[in-house]
Amino acid sequence: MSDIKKSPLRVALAGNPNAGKTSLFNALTGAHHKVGNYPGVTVEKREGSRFLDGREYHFVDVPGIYSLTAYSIDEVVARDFILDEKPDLIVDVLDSTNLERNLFLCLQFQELGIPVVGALNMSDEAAAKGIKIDVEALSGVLGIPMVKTVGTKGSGIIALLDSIDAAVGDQQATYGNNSRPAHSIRYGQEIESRVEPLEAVIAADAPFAARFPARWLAVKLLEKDVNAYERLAFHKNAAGITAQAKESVAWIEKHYGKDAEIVISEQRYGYIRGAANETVTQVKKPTVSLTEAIDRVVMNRFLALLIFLLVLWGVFKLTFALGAYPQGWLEVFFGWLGGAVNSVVPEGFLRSLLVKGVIGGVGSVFSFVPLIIILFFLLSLLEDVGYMSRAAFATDKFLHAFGLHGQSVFPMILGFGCSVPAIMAARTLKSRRDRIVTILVIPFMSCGAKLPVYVLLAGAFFAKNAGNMVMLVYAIGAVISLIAALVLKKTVLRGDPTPFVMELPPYRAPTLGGLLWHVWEKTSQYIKKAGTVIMAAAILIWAITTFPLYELPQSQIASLTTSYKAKNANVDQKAIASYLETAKAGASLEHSVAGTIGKFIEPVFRPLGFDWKISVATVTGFAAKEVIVSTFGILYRVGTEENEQSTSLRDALRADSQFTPLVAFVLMLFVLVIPPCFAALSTIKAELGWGWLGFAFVFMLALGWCLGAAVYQIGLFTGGAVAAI
Amino acid sequence: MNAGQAAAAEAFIVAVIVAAALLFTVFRILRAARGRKPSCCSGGSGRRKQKGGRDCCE
Repeated sequence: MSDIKKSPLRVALAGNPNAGKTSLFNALTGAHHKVGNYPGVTVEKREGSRFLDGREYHFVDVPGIYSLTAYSIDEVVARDFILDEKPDLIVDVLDSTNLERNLFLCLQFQELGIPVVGALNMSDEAAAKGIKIDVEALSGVLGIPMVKTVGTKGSGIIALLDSIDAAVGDQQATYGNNSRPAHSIRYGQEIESRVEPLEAVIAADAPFAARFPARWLAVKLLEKDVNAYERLAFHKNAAGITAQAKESVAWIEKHYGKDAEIVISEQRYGYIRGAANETVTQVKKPTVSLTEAIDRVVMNRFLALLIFLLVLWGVFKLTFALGAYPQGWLEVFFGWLGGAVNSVVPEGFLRSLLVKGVIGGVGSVFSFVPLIIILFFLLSLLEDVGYMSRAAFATDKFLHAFGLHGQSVFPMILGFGCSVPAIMAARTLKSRRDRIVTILVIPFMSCGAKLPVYVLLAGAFFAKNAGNMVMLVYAIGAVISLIAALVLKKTVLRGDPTPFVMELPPYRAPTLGGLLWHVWEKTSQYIKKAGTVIMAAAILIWAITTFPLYELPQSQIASLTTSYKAKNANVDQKAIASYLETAKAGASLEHSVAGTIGKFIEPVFRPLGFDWKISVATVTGFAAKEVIVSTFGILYRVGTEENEQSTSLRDALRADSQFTPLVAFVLMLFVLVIPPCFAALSTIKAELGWGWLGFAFVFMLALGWCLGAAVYQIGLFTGGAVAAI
Repeated sequence: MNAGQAAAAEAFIVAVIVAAALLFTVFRILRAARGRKPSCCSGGSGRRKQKGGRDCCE
């Protein structure tokens, strides 16, 4: 083997959205990146390696693009990587069931002078649809090695690696580094008479031509690609070439009577159609596919939105119905664990820390793991089946009324899981204004971390309708996000939404392995968070609720005993001891650091009906929303002795006279609207900068407080209608 | 070990645990403020080494 063969290769995995790049990337590298049956799953480039026969193949999975003219941020990521980082080879992942459209990008790659190998992905689906591709003939016509692959099954991988080896070797031997590939498309005599002179003047600046392939740039200039003109600024004769290009564009448009970009696109499609006619045959008459049959109902113009709402309702209903049982078992388990530790560890600070801090705080969050598993399983199922794209279409018209559009739906639905990937998924939006609005409203879609808070409060105060109450809060979140989008679009982010064009992928049966992997990925993150961030927070909250130690003065104990006996005749010593124990615990808690902080901030939260305990929990929840649950777990247990009669956290909350159903409802709304956790805030900052982060923080905080105060005051005025639910 | 020593040892252990939790929390907040991508972004296995050997999740 030659040295070239043994040197590591940097290979870009590129192609149209939803062509199966990530599946192929996972099959090539053994990674487990998220694969979804909708366009725009990958919004950043990902890297991974494969070693075979002593060579390292370093693969870079880039976001899906339709052409090298980029609009949205994910498309810019893909284009810039290919143009600026110059991989050794591009594997163009082609959807075999949609070959003609996919080859459009392939031809553009070919013009870059970088070796290209075509992976005819989803070849099993093409065969099932009766599409027969003559791989050898197609390779010959286009001058690009083609290999059949099925990313989800890992087939064709070794053949693909062999083709990569061969293509790199051929390129080195045939073209050298900067020459034009022999097979690159010819655009016809008229257009070529304009491309070739431009190509020649661009190539005259050798260092520039080494960075940007002359032919590719010449064609892009004629396509009026803004980015190509920007890149041209580095050429020593930029002004002259710009003038020449503009003159050529005018000539083409006059000659053909249409836009130059359209003329060039038509030439490419003409070439592709010719290649496809010779190499692709439809051996089976296409019938109405299952996808079309389902879509006739699911995408019906009158039913689509209703079906979408029903699907979401079903997801949440199923989550709560199925999750309630294992959640109960886990609560019992943590209760038993607390009791066991109580009986093993001698009385003291350590026992209090373990039982009330760690088990009380972390256990209360852990018990929600089953709900998280079920919710993510169902959301992953919708993604993998291909329903997400339908959801985008179904809601597009409706969302337009609020200044959003269908493409905002992917990130918003992802927001039900975690705001961080959801905010990043907004990169697929082409207009920056749409992107900012979408990112700002994503936190109103209740993430998985808010779910435990809702379930705890709904279970404690609305036991008969707990599931419906949680769904109501989710729905209120969605409505708030729409209203907020409308307000933002009418004020700080004025402008019309951009048109939304997106293909609908076919329905696909999800693989069990893929589904389970997604669920594990999300669940393990939740468990890891509970075992790290939540654990640390729980320990700190225990410390601030326990220290400084406070002893009730003897005189006060005596007066409490006297007044208790006066109120309760014939009371026994045990009851008096229990009463005093509770009084001591309450006093100790009030004099602790948490009590002092809570009393200090209580006036701010008073209009929302929150006492100092709820105020403390709300403030700790800024780190992560689950911490609210663990704070309650500690606040309502600290100072009380664990025993067999220990009530559940739900019972403890209900026993607090300050905590009414109205307060619980207001707290749920407040948690829904206030700024998200640190991780999500940090992602907003990374995506939009400090200015928008500051705006989002103040906007959400103000909205949360105003909404909470308004609902509480109206609730009080109307006589606690919520309590009747 | 008498009762006083045992109580002191217990207080020491608890103090160490609380201090560790405090340090961990401060570290995580600072890391988030610096804009480093948090671990809850998608793809637990999507970690890759950047230049300088720093881990970055996708």
